Amino acid sequence: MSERKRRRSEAAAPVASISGGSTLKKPRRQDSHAQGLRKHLKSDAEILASIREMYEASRSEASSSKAVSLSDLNLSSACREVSDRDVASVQVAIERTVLAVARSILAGSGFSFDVPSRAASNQLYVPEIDRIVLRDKSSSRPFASLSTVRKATITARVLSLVYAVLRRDIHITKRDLFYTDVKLFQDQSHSDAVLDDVSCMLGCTRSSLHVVASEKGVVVGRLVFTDDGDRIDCTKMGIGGKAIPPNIDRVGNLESDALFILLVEKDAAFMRLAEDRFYNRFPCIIVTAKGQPDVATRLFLKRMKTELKLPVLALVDSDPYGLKILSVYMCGSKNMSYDSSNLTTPDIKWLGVRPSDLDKYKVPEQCRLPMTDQDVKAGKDLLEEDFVKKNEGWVKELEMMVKTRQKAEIQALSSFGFQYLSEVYLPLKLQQRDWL
Amino acid sequence: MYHYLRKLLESIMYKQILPFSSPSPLSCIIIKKAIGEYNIQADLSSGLEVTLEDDVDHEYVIASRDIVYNGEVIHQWLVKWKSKDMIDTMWDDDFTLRTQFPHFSLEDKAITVVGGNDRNPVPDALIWSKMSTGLPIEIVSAAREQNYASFCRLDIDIHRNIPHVHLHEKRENKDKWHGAEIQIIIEGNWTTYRSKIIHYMRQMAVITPYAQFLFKFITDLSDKNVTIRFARRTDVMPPAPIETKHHPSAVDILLIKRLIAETSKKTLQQFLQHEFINISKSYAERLIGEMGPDFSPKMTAKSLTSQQIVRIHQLFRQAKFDDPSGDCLSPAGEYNLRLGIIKELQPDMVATYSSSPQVFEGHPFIVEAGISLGGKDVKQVPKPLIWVLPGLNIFRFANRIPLLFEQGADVVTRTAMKKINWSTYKINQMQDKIGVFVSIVSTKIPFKGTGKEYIGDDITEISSAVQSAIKQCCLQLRSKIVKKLQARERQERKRNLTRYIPDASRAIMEVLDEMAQDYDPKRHRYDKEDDELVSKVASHQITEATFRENLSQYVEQVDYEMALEYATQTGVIEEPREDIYLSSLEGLFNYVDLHSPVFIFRLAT
Repeated sequence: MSERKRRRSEAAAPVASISGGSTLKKPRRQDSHAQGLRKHLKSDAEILASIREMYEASRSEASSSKAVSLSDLNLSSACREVSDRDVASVQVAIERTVLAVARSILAGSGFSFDVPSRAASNQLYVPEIDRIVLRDKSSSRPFASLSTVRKATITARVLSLVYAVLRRDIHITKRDLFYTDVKLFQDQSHSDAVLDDVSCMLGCTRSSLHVVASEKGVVVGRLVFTDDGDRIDCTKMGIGGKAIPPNIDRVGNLESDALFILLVEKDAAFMRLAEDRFYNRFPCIIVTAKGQPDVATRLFLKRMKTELKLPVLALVDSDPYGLKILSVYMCGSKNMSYDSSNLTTPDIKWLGVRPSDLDKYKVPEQCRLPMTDQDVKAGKDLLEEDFVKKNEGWVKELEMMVKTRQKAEIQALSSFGFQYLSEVYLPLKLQQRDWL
Repeated sequence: MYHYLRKLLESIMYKQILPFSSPSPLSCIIIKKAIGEYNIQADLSSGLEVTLEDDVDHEYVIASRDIVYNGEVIHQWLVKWKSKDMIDTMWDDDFTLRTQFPHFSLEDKAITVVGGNDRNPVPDALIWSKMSTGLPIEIVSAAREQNYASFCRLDIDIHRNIPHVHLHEKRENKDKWHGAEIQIIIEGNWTTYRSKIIHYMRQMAVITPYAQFLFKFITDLSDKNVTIRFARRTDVMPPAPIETKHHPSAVDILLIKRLIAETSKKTLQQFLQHEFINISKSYAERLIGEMGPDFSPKMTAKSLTSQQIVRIHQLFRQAKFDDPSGDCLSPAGEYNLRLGIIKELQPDMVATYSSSPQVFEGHPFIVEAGISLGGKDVKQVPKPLIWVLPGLNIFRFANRIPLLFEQGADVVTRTAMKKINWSTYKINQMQDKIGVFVSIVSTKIPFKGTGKEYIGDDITEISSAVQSAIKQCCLQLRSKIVKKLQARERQERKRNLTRYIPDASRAIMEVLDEMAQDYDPKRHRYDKEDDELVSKVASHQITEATFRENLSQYVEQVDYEMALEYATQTGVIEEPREDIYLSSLEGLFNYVDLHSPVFIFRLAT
């Protein structure tokens, strides 16, 4: 879906920019309204004061609120969670599993793996911690059955490969893993799925297995950290920003004088903000995962949020998928729900672009897109989701979106000028503390 | 009893199919009609002998039909005009005829008003043979137990449209042969329509497994010669239909007029009661009451005016009558259909179903369906024969006559393609060789188009009956397929499990090897048994081969246990099967027949 979305956004961007260009030459009435909003902007100092207020509030909240873990809750059914574990303990876990298998084979009774189910039916949303977690249902994967023999063999193979990686204390990508035994794995999706099973089985996160996905996310702004010992200053990373390291263990010593983290859905808006050095005007850290967030970006965001205690504001498209991406940051994806405690960053504020903004900023009709039936269905499905339901403001915005059947990309704001986003829209939003 | 049909069709041979030159597909249709004719009058045992119409009027209507033109139903007449040749006859619109010849009474002149449905095929064949080769046709026929056979050589006098009999004589029939033999010589384009002709013969063979056909194509070039024998596989013929009267919902105004003209009943009430089915005396009285004040039960039927007939027709359309029974139909029978499919296609699996009689617009109909899976491979079949290709292969029959052209729009094709979810029945619509055989028998086949080659799918009664018949077959097949899949799974289980042994053994061994590298006999890292295992790996007592062996043994054991379980569940011991055919018994015997829908058991006493 992220692929599609990205393609769509690229296709839509030129349209928005063309109309933006024409409006510059020939201002229209709605433009004057949008430009008129510029006058409402107070001085940057006043806006900064407003942001600082939020920053302080979020800090005090962070220090007062105690992290609630699964064990603190008395859930009726047992739930499964994984944790980061060091290399030695994961190694021991693999050794135990393999020894058990080897003994079972030698005893003449074949072997079987007990794999926790990651199916949707085994998932549970826990409102107290605002995350999706796994119930404790598991399925056995015997070698003797025709339907599972292949998966059992792949599981054994992945275990042995991960073990080798851990012993050498190196990191490999999922693609590397797949290529070590293409003949058996056949398709990368097979080895990827089994890899998730293995981390569930061993009770550790996927990054503890030292298997990472390739870099996708980018960060820029008022952040300094060390990547494998090298000091990285994210204000000096040019416009492209610094790629978020796929294995979070490499990252250390986070330092920042930012007041908030700005989460951007996609590359185009990220580039605009980076080029305009938005983070210098309003001290912030800008992060994007270019569509659906990968594990590394989510881990990085979580790390920043917990260590730097910064509020997170999100800038996503005004469509169901924008909200879906937001939900992945906040409550985790269904696929990785077992690892939700390490990957989720609850309490993200929805800054924009919200359906109500379309009229508020009088975004011209030609920049709004009609929602397809599929979009409307996705929107209605979201309304049923718990994480949406508990936020009244979100419900109202979503209902409005479904009712008007209109969506818009962040780029729709470019119709008022390419820099409208960084010069008017965001400052005004921050000044008015207009987030949900 | 055995001789009953033996020679019936052996003799439909095209003794001399001349080098075909005519490009017209008509030749093909003619062959179709000529053979088709046999089908309609297959039962010649009732002493029916070929009789010739000598008293043909000079100026008469050959046939009438309804066509749909621009969404409008137009009644047409095929009129033979005194001054014109038979081949010049054309279909004329009712309106044109009536306006141009106001005094020409069409209904009176009609000799065979065929209800717009089936033209009589023999005149077609006759005319075609006359037009293409000019050679006469020869007919031999004999009724059962008749010690002579009548022989007739005739052609048609196209100018006068009467039969021209060259020779009509009695011939010796010592061995009491009975049946009919027609020899007809026509001309056609063999090169272009070869596949169609053979396909048609093949379809005939499917629907009539009780008939034997021999098809020969002879030329000077011996390598182009074709001989196909369609063997007989049964003596059981479909029961002869019972003659029926018209159902009131199914008649049109013309038919009512004709019935009135022909009836021997005097009063209107008697007419209604006796010339139609499902009208009792009391119901006839009620109907007459409904007709209005102009009608009374005692009025004479022949005195009815045109307006009154229109009123009767109108009422017939509105009133409810009991559905007609299917006794007047002559379906091929599930047994014959099944036999025909097996005989001609030799499929891996076959299922057949015969619906109970159903009704549309007062016409009873029965849908018989057969679904076959698999069949002879393309390479195993001599070139010109049809075979089943992967995907849907549709075979359509209307009143037991194969339909050849315009398959795409047919109700059977559409139903099979769009309304059946084959995957539900574990059938792969794209890859499996599926034969779909649907035979619709009815007193009226609702053909579409002028060629009468397909049945539209707009009649819901027929289309849903076709759908349900196909589904019933599929349901039968499904359980067979599931069983087969289970059996195959059982056979391949061992192979599939064994395939993964090397990978699994290697994966486990790799981890153990690395563990063994760190093995220190003095340090106990694991519990006792695990330590022992690692030490054995370190001392190479346990190797990858050990795991392979153990796993192989385990797979053997599992396979054996599963096979046992399968056997106890199904309780079937699969013995090798072989195909056997019982040839017909020569000589005269007394038989006792035991009937079932799918087979007949015959005891010779």
